[in-house]
Amino acid sequence: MYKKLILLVLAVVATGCTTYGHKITDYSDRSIVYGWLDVDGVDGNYMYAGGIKQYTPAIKNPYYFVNTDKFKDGFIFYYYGLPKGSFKLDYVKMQSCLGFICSNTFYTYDFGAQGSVASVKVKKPGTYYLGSYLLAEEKTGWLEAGKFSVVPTKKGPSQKEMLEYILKKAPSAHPIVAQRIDNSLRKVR
Amino acid sequence: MCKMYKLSLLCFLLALLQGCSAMRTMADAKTLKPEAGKLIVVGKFELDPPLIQPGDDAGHKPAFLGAGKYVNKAFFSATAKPVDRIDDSMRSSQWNNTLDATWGETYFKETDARKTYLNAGVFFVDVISLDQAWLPAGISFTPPANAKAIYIGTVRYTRDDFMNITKVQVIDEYREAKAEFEKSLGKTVRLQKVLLRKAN
Repeated sequence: MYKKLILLVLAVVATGCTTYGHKITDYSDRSIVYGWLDVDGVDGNYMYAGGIKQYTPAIKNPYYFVNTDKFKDGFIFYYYGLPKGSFKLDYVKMQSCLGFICSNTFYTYDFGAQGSVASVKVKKPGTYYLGSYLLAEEKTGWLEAGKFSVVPTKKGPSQKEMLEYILKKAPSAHPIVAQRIDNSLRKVR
Repeated sequence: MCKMYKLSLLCFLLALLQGCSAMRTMADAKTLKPEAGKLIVVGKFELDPPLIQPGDDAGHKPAFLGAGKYVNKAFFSATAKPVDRIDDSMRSSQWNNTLDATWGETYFKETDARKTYLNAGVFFVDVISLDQAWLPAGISFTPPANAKAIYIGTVRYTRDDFMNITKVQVIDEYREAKAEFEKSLGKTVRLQKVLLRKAN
């Protein structure tokens, strides 16, 4: 009886977990997006998650979880499988870490639904750069919600450095992804 | 120590109150005749392109019970004096006479018979995130003396994919609005045309 109950709970939990995932088996019509963030000006020093939102066409599950890695005094974010449509970096999540010990305080930086910062219109499969940005806290009043600014920066790594990095991490089972990044690498400096 | 607890409790209650100061909307006047000193305002808000377009797989489930009532609607801060700042810091008093309307539908709202500024608007982009986007306004209407009902026009907002508003137009659709108005309220109340103007 208990086993069945636990199984049922796990099944429900598993259903919940799959709600926001996008299972991709064929990358031939998919695109790669990437960008870089300097997070020195905000709380937390470790970016553990981020998400891209699909604006058009409207779909039931418009969120794509991006990969985030420490890279050149900031964090690179990238995703290998966007379909055609309009997309924007929606949020990043931070926490403070010292070595492998991290605090249990989590910070979410929501880029908002309005504006073209870190956005892209994917018209055909390819590689798209969302930009490099500086995140900085803004002063707010007492009991007022925290705010932050997002400013484009040239301080970060070059597109070439970023593409070389995400090429190393590309899924080996889908050579078309590496091929696309490789093609883009020839066009950037 | 007790003082500390009291202070914390006060802060907590203040924070709660801050959260509770939700917008109060104008009364719907689709079938009611206006009270003395009140005015029926008729108009329409359009978003181009609409949030949900033909062919979209838009079977979204609301993020929480009741969230549906915020979706596909625009909310405008309507005050007797223009506000100084248009941003998240707008006080709750600037939202206590909110003009709320479903996109693309003619609204009939009851408000005080006085010059009114539509300072800014917001809309919720979807029912999952309930993320908000701002609508520029800075427009006003001045009802003529003794007017019982006025038509203020269709405000059409053109947007791009990322909810940037690229164009705002006030369009005169008086004839259609008048027909709807008379269908609901009869011909006993005269609908006067006073199109929205840039606030000054």
